Amino acid sequence: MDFDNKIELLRTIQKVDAPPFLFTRIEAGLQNEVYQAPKQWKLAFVFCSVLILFLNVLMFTNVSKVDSNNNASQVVSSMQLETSNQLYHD
Amino acid sequence: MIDRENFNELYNEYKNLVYNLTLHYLQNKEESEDITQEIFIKLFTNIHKYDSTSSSLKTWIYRITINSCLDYIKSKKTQKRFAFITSIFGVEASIQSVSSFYHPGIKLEHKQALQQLLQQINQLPEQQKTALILTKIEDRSQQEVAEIMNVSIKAVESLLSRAKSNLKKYLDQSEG
Repeated sequence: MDFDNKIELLRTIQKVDAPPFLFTRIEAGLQNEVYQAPKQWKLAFVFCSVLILFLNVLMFTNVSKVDSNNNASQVVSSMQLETSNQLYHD
Repeated sequence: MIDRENFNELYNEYKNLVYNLTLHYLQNKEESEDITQEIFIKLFTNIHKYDSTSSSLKTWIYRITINSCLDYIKSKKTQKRFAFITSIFGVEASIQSVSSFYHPGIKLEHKQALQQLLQQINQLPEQQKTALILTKIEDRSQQEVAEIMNVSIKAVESLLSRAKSNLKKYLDQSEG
């Protein structure tokens, strides 16, 4: 069979009817689709979660920095405060 | 979204168009049914995006169907590659093997010849494949194909001629 005849064979492919049960499947699919959260909402949820996590990490690192700077012993020594509970010295 | 009554009308008018076009691309009844279902769900949820001034509804449905089929074929290829990579590392992948050829519109006496021809068509670049399917199997005019593919008639002619020459090359290689 020559090439052109082979190509023309494509025209012999007949149209078929869509299976009758397909509509029921589509309806069921649509039902599921309706109850699913939209993609934008899912993305927004993920974004918010990441943002909250990031803020938490940021806060944690800042607080630990502040703690190290506000070293209580430094303040006490610079102000020459007495930290002992003993009222009388030997 | 459109209401259910209008959707029923839309479905009844275009169900055969969508189903047959998916069959031409996928050549597998089960996969065509799955993709047809996905396409109609997409149509139902995205009908508000249809712009009647830019194209007819039929053209828009053609485009959605073609893009869905091409995306599905791409994802299948990626799955196959992933399965191959995981098999190298000894991980068992539950990816389906090559889907069996079953096109209910093909007569038994032409089955072997058409199976071979469609396998060669599957190797063509996406644009050439689409131009060939629409003109030769769907029997659309070059004007309609140009509109569906959003290209000029000249471009369709060129795609068809390149598709034919590539196909000839593939067929010569497989026979010789």
